[in-house]
Amino acid sequence: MKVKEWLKRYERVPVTAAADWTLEQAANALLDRPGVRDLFLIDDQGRLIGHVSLRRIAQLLLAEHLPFPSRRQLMERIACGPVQELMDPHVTAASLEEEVDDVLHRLIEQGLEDLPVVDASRRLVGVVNLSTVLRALRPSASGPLPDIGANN
Amino acid sequence: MNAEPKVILLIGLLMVAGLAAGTWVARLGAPRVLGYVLAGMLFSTGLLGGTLGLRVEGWAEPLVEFSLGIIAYLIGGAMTAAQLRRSGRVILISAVGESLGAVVAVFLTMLWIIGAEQGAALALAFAALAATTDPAGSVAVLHQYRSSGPLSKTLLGVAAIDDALGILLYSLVLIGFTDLPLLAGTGAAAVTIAGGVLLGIASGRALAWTVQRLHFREFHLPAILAAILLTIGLAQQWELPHLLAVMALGFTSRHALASMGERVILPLERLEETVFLLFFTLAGAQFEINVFSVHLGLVAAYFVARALGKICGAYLGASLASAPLPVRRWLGPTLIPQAGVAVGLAMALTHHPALQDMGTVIVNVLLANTFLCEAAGPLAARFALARAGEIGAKRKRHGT
Repeated sequence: MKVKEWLKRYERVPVTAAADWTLEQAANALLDRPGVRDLFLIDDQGRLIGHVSLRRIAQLLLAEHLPFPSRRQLMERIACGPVQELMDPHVTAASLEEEVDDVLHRLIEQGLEDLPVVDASRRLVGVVNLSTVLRALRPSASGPLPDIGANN
Repeated sequence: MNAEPKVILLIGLLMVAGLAAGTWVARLGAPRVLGYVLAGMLFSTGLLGGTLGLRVEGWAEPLVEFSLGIIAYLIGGAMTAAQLRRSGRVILISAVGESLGAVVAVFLTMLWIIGAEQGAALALAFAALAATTDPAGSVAVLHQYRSSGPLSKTLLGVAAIDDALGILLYSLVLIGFTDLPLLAGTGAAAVTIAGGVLLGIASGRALAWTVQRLHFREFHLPAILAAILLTIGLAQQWELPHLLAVMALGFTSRHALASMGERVILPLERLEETVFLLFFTLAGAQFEINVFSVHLGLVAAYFVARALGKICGAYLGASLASAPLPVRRWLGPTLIPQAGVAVGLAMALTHHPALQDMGTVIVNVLLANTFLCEAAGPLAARFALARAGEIGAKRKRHGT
């Protein structure tokens, strides 16, 4: 199955933010979608430019609860910048024409719960969600893994 | 048994004993560095160290230099240029004021006590150690009492950056040990400082370039450690201030990687406690009751002069930056704690040729000062935060 077919079957809208958003705006965007932990930063053309996790945002917003912060955490607490200063600009993505089989290892290895899917112009068009993949592919008690290869 | 296995054995014993004692005293609510030092003292020459033939001598120097390099790297990498700009003039100018205040006050006091003829080098050495602050004690008070307000924010910022100023001043003072005439000495110092910073910038760019191309994160830590070792080695080879160079390495590598800068800081942050464990246990193993008892006056003078220097310097700096009155009045007392970085720097000074056999005195005075600071620092911080009206509801205390 190609990624574009997967997106039709298991549609999931990614949570996005602009690079100059504050941490509070970014946190609100994620909290409005319970269960979503990945925030994708896009430019004004809708192209994917980076990724920030809910955990990273929470670490900064809740920093005052850390009893022994490092010097780096102290600086982040008093002089925190826009969300783009936290983003991973090398976030991995899948393309619409790839096979789902070929992108799963990226989803597993990168520590993401939502693997972004981009078109040829790197515009963000959807995400492949880890829970959805697990639900679709988990081995049943009696049988082998479901086949989601090209012939499916 | 030859010397080398004993070195490894001693380091192992110091770390195990330090961990055990540190954990134990933390459970009692006392600072864990107290446990580290007590464990180190157990292996001093007057106790088990003498009985077992385990001595902290020349072999500790490379270990201390490398460990200090890790700390200097973390201090440099703790901040970005954007964060420094955003932190504001109150924090920056107050940090400069309190650091310089401590250095000047300690230098003048020690010079007065020891005498200019025999004690200029020793007074300079103590002054070089005076600027650094251990934020853990004061920040723990902020956390414990949910303190918030202008003073709390300024304290957090100053605590984050004043160790960087401390290392800069330490490097300057070390250059001051040279016998060059004032004018030639000033020119040579400027060239040396610039050389150290340039070496750090070049190494930092190279490290950032390398890390960007290392796809496996497991390679980041060895790359960072290699860059630190190489920078220290080259700086020593070229007689440049190596701690300044490593600090510039940390700052530059994080800056060059922009939002990915944490990749070159996080792996080392986990090593910081190990480094402090080593510093304190090694320093504790150099504790000599005779040296300590003879120099009690120096301990008291260093502690009082440094505290007064911090208080007056912070007041002047905060006033120059037009800080609110509570910040001007009460920032200084929150900056009294001093611990790991200063003890590490003192350990590094023990082998400096200008100090001859005074190294042991410096380490012993700094150890005693650490105890005084650990006892008085949190009390002073709590008092200052209360007077500034920033104390909130108390929460359950964590061991420090």
